[in-house]
Amino acid sequence: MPNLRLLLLTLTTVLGGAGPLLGQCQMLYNVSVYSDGSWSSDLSAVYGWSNTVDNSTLCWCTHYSYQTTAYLYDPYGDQVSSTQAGMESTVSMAINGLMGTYPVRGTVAFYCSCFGAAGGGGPETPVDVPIPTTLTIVSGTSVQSTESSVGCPDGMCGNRRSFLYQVLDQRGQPINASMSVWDQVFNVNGQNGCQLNDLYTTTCPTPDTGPCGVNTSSVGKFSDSLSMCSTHCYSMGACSDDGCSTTATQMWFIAGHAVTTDPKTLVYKCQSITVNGQ
Amino acid sequence: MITRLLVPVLAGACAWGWQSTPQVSSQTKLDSIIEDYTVDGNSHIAALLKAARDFRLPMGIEWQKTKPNVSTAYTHRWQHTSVRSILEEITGSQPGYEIDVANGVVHIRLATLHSDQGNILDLRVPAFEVNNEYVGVASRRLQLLANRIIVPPDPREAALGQGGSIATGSGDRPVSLKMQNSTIRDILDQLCLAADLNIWIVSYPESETRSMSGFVRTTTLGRDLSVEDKSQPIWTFLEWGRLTDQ
Repeated sequence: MPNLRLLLLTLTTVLGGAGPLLGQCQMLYNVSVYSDGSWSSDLSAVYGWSNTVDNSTLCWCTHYSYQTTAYLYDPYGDQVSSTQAGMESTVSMAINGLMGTYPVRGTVAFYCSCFGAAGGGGPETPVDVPIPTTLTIVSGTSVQSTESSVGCPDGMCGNRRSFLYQVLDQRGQPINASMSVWDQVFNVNGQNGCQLNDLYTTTCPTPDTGPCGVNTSSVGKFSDSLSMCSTHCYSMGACSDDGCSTTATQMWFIAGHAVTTDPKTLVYKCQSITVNGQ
Repeated sequence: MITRLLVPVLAGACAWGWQSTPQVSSQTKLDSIIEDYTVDGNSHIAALLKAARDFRLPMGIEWQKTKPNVSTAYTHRWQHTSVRSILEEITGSQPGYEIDVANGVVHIRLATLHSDQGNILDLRVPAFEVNNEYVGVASRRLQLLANRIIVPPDPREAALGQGGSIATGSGDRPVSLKMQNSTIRDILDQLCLAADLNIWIVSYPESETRSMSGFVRTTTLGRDLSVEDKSQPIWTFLEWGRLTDQ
């Protein structure tokens, strides 16, 4: 996801100290440091790089031993940097669920045969890592299964519902990245009329931990399969409905970041499962 | 990275269609000669995952974790070598691992668990049926089924209800299959071939522990967590190309 904003720092200095005679060559520093950044396709890392361009008027001088440094700051201001010989440098940082603005800044140091050590740096270029803010159900993808296909254990009936979620950023735009996804579910026993107290399954096999190898598609979509089976939905050898209801709250994690607008409220009934009333 | 491949051989394999005859195709791929191949893995498992990705091989891996300070990084270059030899060398770069092929899937196995009755992968399931379900959902159902065998439920505490929410994403799609009297390993193989989640991994902690019923406990793929028996066993399905930087 290239951040197309480029920042140009121009250090232009006319060095009167060079003492040029009228009509003679005048030394002119014109060194530019470009900085930019991007994030990985799975939103797990952010990258910054700096590129130095030296268009100085050198006259009889030479510039040499360039060292370019790229600095990358996380939203809390913690910094990593990388200094490399030459005109370019790259740096990276794991995102670890900390979305937001990661400023990149570049500097250059070099030697001038006439004036010794020289260098400079530019202002920061912001790299905005999108924040997983909302999960929206993709219209037309919700499928409610029939009781017979749910595969409940003997003595239980229930239903299953599946649909596609789309991950949206803080501006309501889809995040086009293949990101890790997992969920946590709480308060299953708070309002638990259907007595879903046996093996409430979440995306990862170990409750409350992730990631576990599940990723969204490259355009930030994934399927959620919600299911319930209960003895309350079974009577006299057939599926029935005693009107039970279980409420749970759910928190999703996308690329390690808790979805900002969560938690969601899940309501399980014998013949329906709703998410935030939908 | 594969720089040069004997194209006619693999082109033939593709034309045969490995989805319908996976064993033939995997064997053919394994016998293919690669002119120049280099693998550079931060760890033993990363090297295996890279090879699986590069040669498009379905792979089931039993992975014994090592101490965090023990490096298993592996870098090697081969010239004019069969895929099978490359995989054998990567596998053998760490002691205690074996390689075989069954069901069209390359298996990287822990020798110590080969004939161990506590190996959950050799547990036989009387019947397992998947009807138009995502592999991720079917996989979780299989885990729950295996859990009931590892930790038999107390008959005095009869279950009254169960529910869940399971996300599945890239590489997954609804599949159907029906298996009888199959091992967990066989079922994982079939699930792995059914969609585009071409790799399954069962991770074992650095120090072996067993459940009350004698099964070797598994752990999570990422962090080396102590996983309670109620969450055993654990396995992970991956697409080709995932976690190659492990």
